[in-house]
Amino acid sequence: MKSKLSQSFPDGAWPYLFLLPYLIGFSLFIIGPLTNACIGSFTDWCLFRPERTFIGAENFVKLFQDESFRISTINTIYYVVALVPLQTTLAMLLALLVNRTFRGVTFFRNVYFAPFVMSLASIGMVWSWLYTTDIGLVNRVLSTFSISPPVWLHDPKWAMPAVIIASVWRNVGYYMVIFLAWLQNVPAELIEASQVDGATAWHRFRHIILPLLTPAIFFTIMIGVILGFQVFDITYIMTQGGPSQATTTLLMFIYKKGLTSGNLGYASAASLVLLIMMLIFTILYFMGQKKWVFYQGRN
Amino acid sequence: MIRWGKRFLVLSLILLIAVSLLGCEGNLEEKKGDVVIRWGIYADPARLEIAEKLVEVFEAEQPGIKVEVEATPFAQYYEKLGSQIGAGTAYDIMMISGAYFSMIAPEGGFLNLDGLIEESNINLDEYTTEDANSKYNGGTYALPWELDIHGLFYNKDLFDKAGVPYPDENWTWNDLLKTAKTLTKGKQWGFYSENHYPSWISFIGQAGGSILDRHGNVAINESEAESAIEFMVDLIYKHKVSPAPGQLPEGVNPFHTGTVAMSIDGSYSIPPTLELDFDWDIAPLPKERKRAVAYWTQGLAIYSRTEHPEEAWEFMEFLVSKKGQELFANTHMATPSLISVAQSEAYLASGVDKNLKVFVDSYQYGEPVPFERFFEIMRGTDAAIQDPFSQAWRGEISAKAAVEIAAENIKNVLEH
Repeated sequence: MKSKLSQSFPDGAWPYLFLLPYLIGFSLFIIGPLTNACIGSFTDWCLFRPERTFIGAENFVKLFQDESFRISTINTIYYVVALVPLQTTLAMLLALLVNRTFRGVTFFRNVYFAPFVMSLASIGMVWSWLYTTDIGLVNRVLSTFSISPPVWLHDPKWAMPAVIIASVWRNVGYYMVIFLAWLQNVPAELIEASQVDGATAWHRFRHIILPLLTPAIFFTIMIGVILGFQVFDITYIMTQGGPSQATTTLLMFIYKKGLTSGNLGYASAASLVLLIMMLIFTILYFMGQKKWVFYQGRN
Repeated sequence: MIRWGKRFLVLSLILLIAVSLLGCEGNLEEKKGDVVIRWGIYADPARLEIAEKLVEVFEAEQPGIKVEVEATPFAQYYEKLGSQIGAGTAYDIMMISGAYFSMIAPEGGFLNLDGLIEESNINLDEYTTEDANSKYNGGTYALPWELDIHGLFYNKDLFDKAGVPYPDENWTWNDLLKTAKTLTKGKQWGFYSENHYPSWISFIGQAGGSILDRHGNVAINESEAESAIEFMVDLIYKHKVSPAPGQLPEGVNPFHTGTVAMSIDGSYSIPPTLELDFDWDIAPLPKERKRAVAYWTQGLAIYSRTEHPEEAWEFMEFLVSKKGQELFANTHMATPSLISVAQSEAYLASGVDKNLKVFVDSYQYGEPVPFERFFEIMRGTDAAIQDPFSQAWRGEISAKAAVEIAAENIKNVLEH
């Protein structure tokens, strides 16, 4: 029995109505500023300048001649290439480890996950103290093994590895949970059948578990790369981009040029380049998905 | 019944969206006749308190003008100011410091105060002025509110324990070095040689050099400046009286933890240093070829597009007047910019038995910080000077190499 009102209001419109608040927010806070920044990257937009004038591709030309930009891009790629395999492998290993049901396993799952919910600022501070020469915990431990430790955060060669280690420590718990969820989806019959057939643990892992985990690996690598390219907080707190720009990442470059030096047009140009890089990666990555990711229930 | 539920849902959804879209603009309540001006300040707790007090006293004297204090943490203050200027809604009167003055004044963000100063009885010679934070194109666009200048902070307890006489105004670099050596033992260092521009500028000035000479040419690679940097770095690696970067926990002031006996700090650090549980005092920085002390000011400027320039000026006059400065001086959160007040009981005897006189006395030897393109030259890990200096501070390159690279870098920045 449809009333007059609901007759003129089609049922199929309900989903859109509920999406409306999100779409409004998305347009106002994401699409709007994004478009503004893209336009701004072709202007001389400055923080304290009331108007901006079109200057064409000047910002982009300057960007590709900028040594700092080159260094930040390389640093960011270095960070991602080191971080993602490390945290993916470690997360998978930890998930396998805690995928049991002995008493107290929940405690360990919580402990491994805990760093992910801590504030990055406090993690950065604490780790920078851990890396202090002589009195920092890291170097104290290393010297008991008679290893002469580097000056970590003040050594251009070791600053990035130091930051990467802290990042792995922080991120691994989150991806462990992802892997754990997928592990618990492995059908018990497959495991039992393999045990009956006399498969070793390694065989089981390599031929049953690993293929079934590929979606989780796919997700972990993708999110890892996307978030990795956006790294800012931890390098800002631990090293402020030093020493000698060894840990200056793309986002720090953008922040410095845009908000500290006030050159928003230039920073927007760099942001646009970053966006395009991420888009290219994501498109290529998704296209390659079919080659190695195996979803249960598909042929 | 379901139909009513649907209708209710639709209506509440629409209401929600409408409300969230509308509720953004801040409202300024205006009583008939009252002019309301907005004052932008950094949000340190001590400053907030004194700001409220100053507003109270001013409003009592000037009924008809209301001042709204808008405090923002320093780290976001200039970002916010930038977006406000972009939107045309900046504070009527605001705090300003050199690095940003050089960015805003050329864009016409500030009101020219020349006429207003002439008509008033403000004599700029009576203030600790800083050209980089007030003058543009020959005109005055900001007035100094507080003086941030430096002194040698020393830990009296550590001095007493070692039986060493306190620093005095006759100290030279050699005296600093000798005393630092006596005070360096075990986990304690005599002096903190910091890779920070107030320290470089002071030492370079004391050696008779400068970063840029009076014509704006690069002078940082001259022998005087080089000798100053060499001295600072030698304190770490040759004489071992200062900790090296990375040897102490980041973000922790080594003077506060009693790890170093002497350190260079500013008149803006008095309130936090008062909370320490050891006895300390302040001495003038040592001299070498001459006296030099790095300084800057926090200024006040009026927005060029303010709707209430007269009222904003009234308030600014109050803030730099004897009364306004005395109220500010009582908090000893920084040195007042009105010299007579900085030399008076209001500041020196403001409940603090430390030698605050050092600060105002040092102003005559003040070395202004060159704020033009500050973040590209002075501050930031890739900044023209800071980058090679960090390498010198890590002992990777010599002071000579560091100043040469710095000079090259500065030239590159200035040419673009």
